[in-house]
Amino acid sequence: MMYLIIVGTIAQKNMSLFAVQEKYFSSFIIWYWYFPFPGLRLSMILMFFNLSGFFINKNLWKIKKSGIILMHLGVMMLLIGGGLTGVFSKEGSMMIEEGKSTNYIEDYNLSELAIVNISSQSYDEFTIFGQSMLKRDAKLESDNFNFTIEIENYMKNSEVVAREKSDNKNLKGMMKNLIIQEIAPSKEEHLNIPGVTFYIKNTNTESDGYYGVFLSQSVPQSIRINDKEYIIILRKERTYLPFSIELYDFKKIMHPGTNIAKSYSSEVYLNDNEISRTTLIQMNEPLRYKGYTLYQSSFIEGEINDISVLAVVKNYGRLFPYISSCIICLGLLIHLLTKLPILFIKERI
Amino acid sequence: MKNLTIFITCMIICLFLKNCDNSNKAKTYRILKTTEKKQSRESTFKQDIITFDVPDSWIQSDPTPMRLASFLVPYSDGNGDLSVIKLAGDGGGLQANVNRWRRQLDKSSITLSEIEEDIYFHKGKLGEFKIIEIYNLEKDINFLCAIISTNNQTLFIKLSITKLGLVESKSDFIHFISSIDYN
Repeated sequence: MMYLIIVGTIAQKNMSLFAVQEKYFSSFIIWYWYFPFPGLRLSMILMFFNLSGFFINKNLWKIKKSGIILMHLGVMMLLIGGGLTGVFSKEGSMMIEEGKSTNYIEDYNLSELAIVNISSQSYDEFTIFGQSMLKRDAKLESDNFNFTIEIENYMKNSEVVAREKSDNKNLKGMMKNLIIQEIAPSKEEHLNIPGVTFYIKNTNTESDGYYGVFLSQSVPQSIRINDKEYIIILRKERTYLPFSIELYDFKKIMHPGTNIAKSYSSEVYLNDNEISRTTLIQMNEPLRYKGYTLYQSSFIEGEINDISVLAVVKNYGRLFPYISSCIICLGLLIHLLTKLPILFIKERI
Repeated sequence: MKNLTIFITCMIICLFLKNCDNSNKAKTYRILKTTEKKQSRESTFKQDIITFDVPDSWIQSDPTPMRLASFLVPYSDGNGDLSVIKLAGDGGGLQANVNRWRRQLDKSSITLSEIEEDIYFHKGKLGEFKIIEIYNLEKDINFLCAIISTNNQTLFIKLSITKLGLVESKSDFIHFISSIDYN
């Protein structure tokens, strides 16, 4: 574990924080060429089982060893909390313009490919493929559409350049004029522009061909297949919340004579079927609701309306560090108290 | 026997953790359509008492109390934001408005003579208009602005866009400004 922490820290010189986290701390196996090395997740699981093995010892279950038992339980709870956070927690940002409402958060790093059937008058039907599915040669299919998407390449960072000559790929959409080409990922994760190139097959129409989309593309790729119209978007991974937030007013106070914000706050209307209320989110005073914590993170200054940026976190293991720390402290205290008489006896001798 | 029990328990927990990860399944959901107006592709857009020819690729946003019109201006690597604002009289004057834009880009104010050195002129349906370019190359946010003065009011048009976008959209911008006219 020490090795992983040292290597992960040094790796941040050349890699983004998220890339380092993915490679060393959120992985089970790290591959050094053909040689596997345990990632932090596997190390933590092994550590958990190692600690669990401690309880098999029959000689352990005595009153005088209750301190040690509690300490081990505390450390195991810490590991369980870490596991829950790693597997289930969600975090992202929510951007709301004054006077508007939002009910989803966007992941800071992960992308998703959304196929939206917009043919219905009353609703849009979304089919979402997560970033982990966008692998080279992967075939994406769904009951919601009757064609196949075959991924040619997913690029963590890409740039769009003009196409100088055509090739025999049956180019469609913007790919007729442009090329999405892979470039080295930036150390600053937010500067990366993911892109994906893919083939659409089995439509038996003119829409079969080679397409490409990239993050924050201003005009989405649209295709029409047998009276059904779809749009294809590569966007930040969205998580929908069980409530919506409307921004009434965003206020900022600047340091006098500068353009540096001293403090900023968002007056929001929390809209939920169960409870709806107006509340103020400001620096160091987040809104906590249904397990989600919404922090005032940043803002974007608009000419007419400002946009408030909230950082949203849902962490299932949030309480585990506090509880396990208390248990470990209690264990240490009991262990100390049980050992004190022995120390005094030794001193007298 | 004891070791086998531990091994099986490990395997069950690993399988549980693996199955918790549902990122390899497509998600589907439906969202009711909002009443937002669909993108208009009409070549001429009427608002207030003025008309302009809108390039096909531009996407109209809803007007606000302050903005006569707003457009998303797509280019090969993103999109810019264009606003059209009308103010009475000279709207505070050339220097005050240019310096206001400069402050939005974290640039210091400059004198009227320095501003006039960088201005260039084009002719449109409402006569001669001024074009000003303001760059913040560090942040890659740049303004391409136009000011059209008429008898009793002034139109301020500002395109906020990256350097690449500015290069690609400049001719469309000038064509758009040139087309502005009163009914």
